Amino acid sequence: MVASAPDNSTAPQLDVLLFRLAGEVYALPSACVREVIRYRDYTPVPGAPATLPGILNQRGVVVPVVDIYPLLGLSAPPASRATRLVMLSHQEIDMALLVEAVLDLAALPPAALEPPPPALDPARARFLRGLATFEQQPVALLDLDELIAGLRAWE
Amino acid sequence: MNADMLLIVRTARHRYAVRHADLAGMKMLADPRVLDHSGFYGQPCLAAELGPLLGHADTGALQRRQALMVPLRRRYVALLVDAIETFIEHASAVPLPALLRERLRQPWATGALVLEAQPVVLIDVRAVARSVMLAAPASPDRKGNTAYVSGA
Repeated sequence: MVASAPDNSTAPQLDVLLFRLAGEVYALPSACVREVIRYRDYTPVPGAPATLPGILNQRGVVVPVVDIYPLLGLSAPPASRATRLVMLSHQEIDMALLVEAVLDLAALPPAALEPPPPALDPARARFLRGLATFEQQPVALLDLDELIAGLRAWE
Repeated sequence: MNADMLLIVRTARHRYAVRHADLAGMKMLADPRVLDHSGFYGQPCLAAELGPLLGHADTGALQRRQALMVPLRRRYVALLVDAIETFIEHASAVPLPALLRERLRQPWATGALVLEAQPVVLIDVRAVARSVMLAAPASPDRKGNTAYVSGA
């Protein structure tokens, strides 16, 4: 039997939410996005790591706030009017992802997705499913499974 | 009083929930140093500010303190706060989200309840008190270099 390359022409497009972290454009599959809310102060939790600094109440449910800037080696800008919390649900885990700004919804053709360049820091590349270009901008598609694993391992 | 009753206490910057059943009592102090001399019910007492233990830059300027008296085996630990805001009966605290709970550096925050739409962290004051005692210089209960202890 001869293995054939996947036919990307018939593969469904990947719907993603585009957002900005430290000036760079990132994406997550929109299927795991529940809603986007304006930034509001959260309740800090004593002894929590920098990546999980606190909790907030969203519609009666207490969810952890997730800050992936340290995970990606990025410097977090101060909260501004554009700062948003992206409410995510994945693997039965609910979380509020802190982002610099939410940009748009987009559909990425699978063929547009390329592996992260080898020169990229492996500590950062592990959190990326791939890179794409959308409207002349580089977009990094995040791997939510790896992000959650990274949050669990962060010291 | 109901054994499930929760106290909402306030430090300089935050509010926390505390189980009433974990306390031997509460005491208003014009000067917390009085505990160093008189103890509590004839037992030695170690006083510590709760705010700085739980969060950076959470130090109050008030001289008058409320002391949460936590009984341990041979002594009391007085955890000092700015105020006891309220008592809540039949409060339903939920465990912290698992993703967060498993990453805590100390086992002090055990749950949360929503009060006026804001989450308030439930603190295990017995665990905090044990850590205070173990960290105290010349403590007869000090074992090794453990900065905190877990478990009941």
